[in-house]
Amino acid sequence: MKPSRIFFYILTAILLVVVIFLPSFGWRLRAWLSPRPAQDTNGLAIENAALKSQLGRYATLAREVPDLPSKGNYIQAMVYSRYPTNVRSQLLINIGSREGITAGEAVIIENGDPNWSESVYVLVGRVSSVFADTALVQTVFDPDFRMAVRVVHPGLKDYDALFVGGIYPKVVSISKSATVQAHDVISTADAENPLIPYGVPIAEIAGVNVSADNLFQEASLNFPYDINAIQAVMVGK
Amino acid sequence: MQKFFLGILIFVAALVLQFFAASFGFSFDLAFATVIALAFMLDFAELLPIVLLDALILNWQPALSPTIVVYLVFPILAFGLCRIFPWESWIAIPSAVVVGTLVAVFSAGAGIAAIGIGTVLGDVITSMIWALVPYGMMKSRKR
Repeated sequence: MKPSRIFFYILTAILLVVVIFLPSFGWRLRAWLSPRPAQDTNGLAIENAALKSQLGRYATLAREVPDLPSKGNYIQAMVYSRYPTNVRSQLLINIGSREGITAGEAVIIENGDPNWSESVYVLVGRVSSVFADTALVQTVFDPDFRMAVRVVHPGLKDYDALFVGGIYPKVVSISKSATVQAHDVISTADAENPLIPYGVPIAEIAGVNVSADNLFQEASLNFPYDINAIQAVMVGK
Repeated sequence: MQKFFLGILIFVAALVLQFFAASFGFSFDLAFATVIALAFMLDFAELLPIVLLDALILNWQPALSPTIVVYLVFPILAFGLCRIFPWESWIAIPSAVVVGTLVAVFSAGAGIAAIGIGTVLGDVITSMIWALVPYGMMKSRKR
C-alpha cells in the first residue's frame, strides 16, 4: 500500500472519531472561519440610533404589559453554532438539560444599553430540542416558526394576528377592520405555550397590505437586531 | 497528494465565502457544491476526509440530522455514479450539484414555498456556477 493511501486512511479515521465524539471541535473551527461581527462605523452608528428608537417604543410597551421576563427566570447562553444555510434558522446554544432547559422555552435578547432606565427584551425564538449540554433554538426567522401574537399600539386597541417565520417574517390574519400602522409593535400572545411569556415584543410593523384572498390584512416587519450577529441570548428555565 | 491539498484549499475558500455571504443574509451552499465537484476529480481515499470535514464543520448540533446525512452520503453517491456513468465532467458536475443542493434543501424539512422559491433558486444557481471553480482549477493543473 502506498504511503499516501495510509495517510488518507489515518486522516479519515481521525476525522470520523471527531465527527462522532467531538462535534464541538467542528463548531470551534466554524467560528474561527466565520467573519466576526463588524466593528462600529458611521453606518452602524446610524443603524444603532434607529434600533434604539425602535427599542424606545418597546420600552413604552413594556410599561403597559404585566408579564415581562424577570432576570431571575432566565439564563444567559452563548451561541455555539447555527444552521449552515438560510433554508432554516436554528441556533445551537451552550446550555441544555443539565441547566434545567426544556423544549418550548422562550429565547430572548436584552437591550444591554446602560443609558436605558429599564431592561427591554425582544423574543428571538424558542427552544426546539434539548441535549445534555446544549440546546437547539428555532428562531423567528425559521420558515416553520408560527406563533399567535398581538399587534399593539400603546394607548389604543390591540388586535390578534398570526406571526409567520421565514427569511422575511410577516404577520397575517389581521382583521380587515383593524387599524394597524407602521411602527406598531408585535408582541407574544401564545396561550397554547405557557412557557412563552405574554407580551414580549418580537418586532415592529414596517408596512401593511391586504392579503391575497382579500379577507385579512398582513404586515411586513422590522427587527431591532441582526439575527446573524447574535452571539448571546437568554433562555427561560 | 497535490490534488488533495488543492481540493482542501478550494473547500476552505468555499467555506469562508459561504460564511461571509451568510453573515449578510445570503444562503449559498458552496462548501457542499465543492465537495460534490471534488467527487468527480479525486480518488475515494482523498474524497473521504473532505466529506467528513464538510460534515464536521457544517453540522450545527450534537446529533445527526437529515441534512448532515445528505452532506455525508450524496458526494459518495456522486463518486460512485460518475464512475458507472462516465458523462462529460462539465455537464455531470453542475447536474450533480443541482440535484444535491435540492436534496439538501428538501432534507431541511421546510417546504420550498415557506423558504421562498427565490432563495432556493439563488442557492442552486450559485452553487452550480461555483462548482465549476474546482473543476476549472483541477483541469488547468493537469495541463
